[in-house]
Amino acid sequence: MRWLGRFGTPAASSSPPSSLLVSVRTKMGLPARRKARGHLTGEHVSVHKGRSMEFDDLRHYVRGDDVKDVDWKASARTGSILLKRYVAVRKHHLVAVVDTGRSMAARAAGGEPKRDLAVMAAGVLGSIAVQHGDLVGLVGGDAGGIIRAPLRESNVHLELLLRRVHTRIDLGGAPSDLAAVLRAVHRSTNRQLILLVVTDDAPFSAELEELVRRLRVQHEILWLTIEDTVLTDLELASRDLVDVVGGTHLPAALREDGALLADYAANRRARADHRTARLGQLRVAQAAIGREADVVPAVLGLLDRTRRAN
Amino acid sequence: MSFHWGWVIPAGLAVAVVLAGSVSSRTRRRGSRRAVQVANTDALTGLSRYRLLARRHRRNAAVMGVASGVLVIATVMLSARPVRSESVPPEIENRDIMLCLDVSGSMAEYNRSVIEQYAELVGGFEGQRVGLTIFNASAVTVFPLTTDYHFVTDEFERFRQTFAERGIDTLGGTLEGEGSSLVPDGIASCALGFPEEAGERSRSIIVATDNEVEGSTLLSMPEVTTFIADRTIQVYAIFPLFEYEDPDRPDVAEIRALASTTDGAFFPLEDTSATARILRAIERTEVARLDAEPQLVEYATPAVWLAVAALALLALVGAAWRARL
Repeated sequence: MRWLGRFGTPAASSSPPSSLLVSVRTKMGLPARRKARGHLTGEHVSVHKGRSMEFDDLRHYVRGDDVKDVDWKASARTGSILLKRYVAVRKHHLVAVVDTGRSMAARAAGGEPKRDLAVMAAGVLGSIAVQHGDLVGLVGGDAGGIIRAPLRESNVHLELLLRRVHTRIDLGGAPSDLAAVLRAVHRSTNRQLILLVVTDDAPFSAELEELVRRLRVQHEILWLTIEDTVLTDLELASRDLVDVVGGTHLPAALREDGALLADYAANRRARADHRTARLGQLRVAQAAIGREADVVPAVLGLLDRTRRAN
Repeated sequence: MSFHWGWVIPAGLAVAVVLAGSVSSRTRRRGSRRAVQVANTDALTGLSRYRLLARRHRRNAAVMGVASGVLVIATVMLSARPVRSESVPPEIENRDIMLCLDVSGSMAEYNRSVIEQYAELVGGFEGQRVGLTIFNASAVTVFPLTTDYHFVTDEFERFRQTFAERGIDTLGGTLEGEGSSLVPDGIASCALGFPEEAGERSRSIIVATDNEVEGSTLLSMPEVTTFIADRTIQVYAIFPLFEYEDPDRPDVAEIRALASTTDGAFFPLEDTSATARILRAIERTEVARLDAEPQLVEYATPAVWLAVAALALLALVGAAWRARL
């Protein structure tokens, strides 16, 4: 089996690997073409509780039950009549809400472009969903407009969706406008959705807070923050830093001042704390990641928290 | 200000511009290739501490940029060898003038004004070779014939001062003969101060004396007159002769004869126009004007640009130190 492009190649080219989904699955530790759920099973089943045609558990026969449902083998083993219990089919609607602004093409804290982490996160969640027969859609966008992909249930669709995100996030793209994206989500549907919001370290404004509050009424929100590069990272001491939005150069000489480093660290922490506090108050499951290795645990962690919240 | 190698300036500046351009474009290209694209930098740039540092950084960068530019320009200018050019009359004209002063006791009361006149003469010369000889019992060369007017002026000034302080035997060595005020010998010595070969140069002696001889001279005044006339030297004599004195006294007559025989002129000391007339007379004595064009003499004048370069370097180092580079 030949593995196609890997995620987060150093070239960070804007042309996506030949299959983003393969890349995602590779990173998830799953062979791309195997149907089995692999070692993620234990975690994702709990997420999809009460769902689909799946067998859920056994219970004792009570009068009135359909004889067709009796699990004869299990009954024979235990000596009492047990019924198979199925869970009613209910498809979840997962929508990846991706900030595709230019700043998402910048470097993440771990070194990869934030875009790759965003695609990876959407891919991981989408992939799990598709395998469970759930529908995956996309609402993304930036100041330049909104992109959408309808809710569908296929790997091909998921691949397409990831590609659109990957292509859209570009250094030449429009600046971020997450509020517009959230408004678009709010307008677009009256169905109950699971929203995976993927954005970066931009300040969590009061406007965003209000939009999240409104969306929260109807939808499940998973908020994934992709952390920006720590500008005072020693690894970058000799590198030229350029802001993707303003084009501002941050001379290395300005990133050495002790007092400034302290102020900066405090400011970053304050911003993160503010976001965490606001989202926490809105009962939004949230996680922050800086590197590719964090994506899968973070997404699974988000799902886990959602399950517990339900 | 002009430059010895003027072409170095455009060439040097062009090279500097090209070099700076290629270096900056290369570093920019490399910088942009190596540049890390980051976002949400307002978390850093919004800090007041950052704005302060950025302002300082910009100022430093500006100072360093300007200083480097000035340094490069100054260096280019220095490479072009800044010079001050002066057009100097060709080795000079062709007149030799020996100032000759009787420093005997009898002249003591007049010499101050004589020296004033000589100073005036020296100031009026241009291009001539000038020398100064003083004599009493023996002759002493204060300075030989030279066109170095700085030297002449300096020496003359020093002579004037020592003379004012010490009087008769100003520089020593003027009392070596038998007797004193041996005027004919003194004048002959002055004449010997000229090079042997007359060549194409006119030769003049300006002598101030009262012709009061005490003692025995090697030559008599007529002998000296012939000796000098043979050598085609003109003698301009300044004599302390006053209106109430007999202008036909033998001592006066001797000097008059000396002056007229040698195509020179005789002036009483109190004749205030003497200086100007001597100058005019000497100017007329052209044996043969040298045809040489005035020479362009260049003096290196790197001082200004050196100072500019030093200041620029200082500013550069200062800014670099401030930026802790």
